[in-house]
Amino acid sequence: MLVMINIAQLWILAATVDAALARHYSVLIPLVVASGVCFIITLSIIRWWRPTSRKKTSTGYVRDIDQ
Amino acid sequence: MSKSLSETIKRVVENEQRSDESDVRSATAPFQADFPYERDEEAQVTRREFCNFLGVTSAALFLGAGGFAAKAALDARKSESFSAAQIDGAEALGPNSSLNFSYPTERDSAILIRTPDGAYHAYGQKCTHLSCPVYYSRNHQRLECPCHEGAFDAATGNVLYGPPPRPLDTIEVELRGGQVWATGRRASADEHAS
Repeated sequence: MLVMINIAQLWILAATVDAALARHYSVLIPLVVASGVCFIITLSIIRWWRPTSRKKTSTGYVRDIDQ
Repeated sequence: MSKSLSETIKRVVENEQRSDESDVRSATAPFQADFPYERDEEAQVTRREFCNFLGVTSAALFLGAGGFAAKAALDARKSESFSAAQIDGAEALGPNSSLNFSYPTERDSAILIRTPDGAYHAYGQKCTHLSCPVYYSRNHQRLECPCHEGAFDAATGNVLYGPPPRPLDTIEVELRGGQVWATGRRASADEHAS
């Protein structure tokens, strides 16, 4: 998922460069916003994603050995 | 001669046999003492480290996009003023021919075209695809890029075919007392722009 988001951001960056060179200023802000949304999603995944085999306890996440 | 050859073969064979991990470590013992590392640990990248790397990459791509957009916005605010410059040799240019010149600086290569009807048109010489220099094809009466076979209309600078994404930059020209002057340079938008 993170790799796919990175690829999408790479595509957005290429589109941003092309739009800047072509003087299409109206699409620059949406492109930057889209890249920022991708970055926020990436951060969210890194921060909150945990394997389903882990359980949250009062001391943090531990691997559920019953599974 | 044969002795040295046999010694060489023996040394090569010995070296091949010493290519495993333990021999490499013993051979590089002094360096191991100064820079200790475990090869197995070095080769292993944890899932968390990989995710962090992707996160940093995502941040870099976001900042890159923002940087390009900011630079483009700043460039758009600058009002470029060009001083008029005479194009040397343009008055002797015959119909259906071209002349290379530089405008507005020596580093900005440009091409002046006199179409068969006698009109002058000037464009930046860099192809809008990958900046190859375009040339005027007298046979086809159009500007062609030799790198990836793109072509531009000689009268408008618009893309006729090929990979270029937008028209050539336009240089405004004026006739002053029989001389041809370049008076301004305008970057192109896309073909659909007015």
